[in-house]
Amino acid sequence: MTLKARLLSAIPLVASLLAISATAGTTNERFNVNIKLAQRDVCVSSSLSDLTHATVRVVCVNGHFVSIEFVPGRPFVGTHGGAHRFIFAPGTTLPSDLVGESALYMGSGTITSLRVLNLSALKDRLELLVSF
Amino acid sequence: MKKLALATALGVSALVSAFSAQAATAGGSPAGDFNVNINLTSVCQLVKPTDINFDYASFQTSAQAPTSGGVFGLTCTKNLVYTFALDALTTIDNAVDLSYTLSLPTAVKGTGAAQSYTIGGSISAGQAGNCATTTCTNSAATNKTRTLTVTY
Repeated sequence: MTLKARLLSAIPLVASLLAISATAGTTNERFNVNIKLAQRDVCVSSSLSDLTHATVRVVCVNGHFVSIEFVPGRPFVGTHGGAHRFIFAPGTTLPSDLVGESALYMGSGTITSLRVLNLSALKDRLELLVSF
Repeated sequence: MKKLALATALGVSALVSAFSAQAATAGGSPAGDFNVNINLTSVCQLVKPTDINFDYASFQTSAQAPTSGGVFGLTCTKNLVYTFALDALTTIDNAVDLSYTLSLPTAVKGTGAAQSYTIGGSISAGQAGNCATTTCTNSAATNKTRTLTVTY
């Protein structure tokens, strides 16, 4: 038998092996992942709040950090100019220095702003304004 | 002398016949031989994993392993190679808003006897979670069910 004939005769065998592997079996089962969550009390850390000029909340029992939020009108440590949050209801008039232009159909929402000043050149300032 | 010659001839003839019969039996005569052919279909039988249970406290400082569960049994044909898969390895539970990760054991191959495995898991540290009361469970979660698949 020539090499070519042997190769040709092997094709059905290879095909059958491929067919076997293609029909590999599977089996599956479902299970649940159950979670019990215990809530922990959150406290305001006065020491961390004073240190950062912000409101720092931690887990009461272990002091684990939870969140940090600015104190309205008071700058974070290392910044100047203060951070502000304004909350406005429908129909209220926004302070004129808060918006560059008035929006006719402005609804309720909040505006958060942060201003960072360069003390050596007071005209240089970076402002961040987020409203929604 | 004639009698002696006849007796000798008969004896030789008998010996030749006996030898020929023995040779026919041991020499591969096809008479009466047959094969027993067996087609074996390999399978794995999976026993449902036990539910995995986590106890977690908001903002806890270390990762949390399951307190129990995740054990399953598998019985496969001897030397049958298999693999494990889960429909999701990382999930954010939509009831308590905690992210957890599951890990699969190392698969080997069938032994013909029941083999025991355990699915691992972890909830990473520092997560807040979502709970309006002192303690909550994820019983209302719609994504708490996982599927383990064994392919062989």
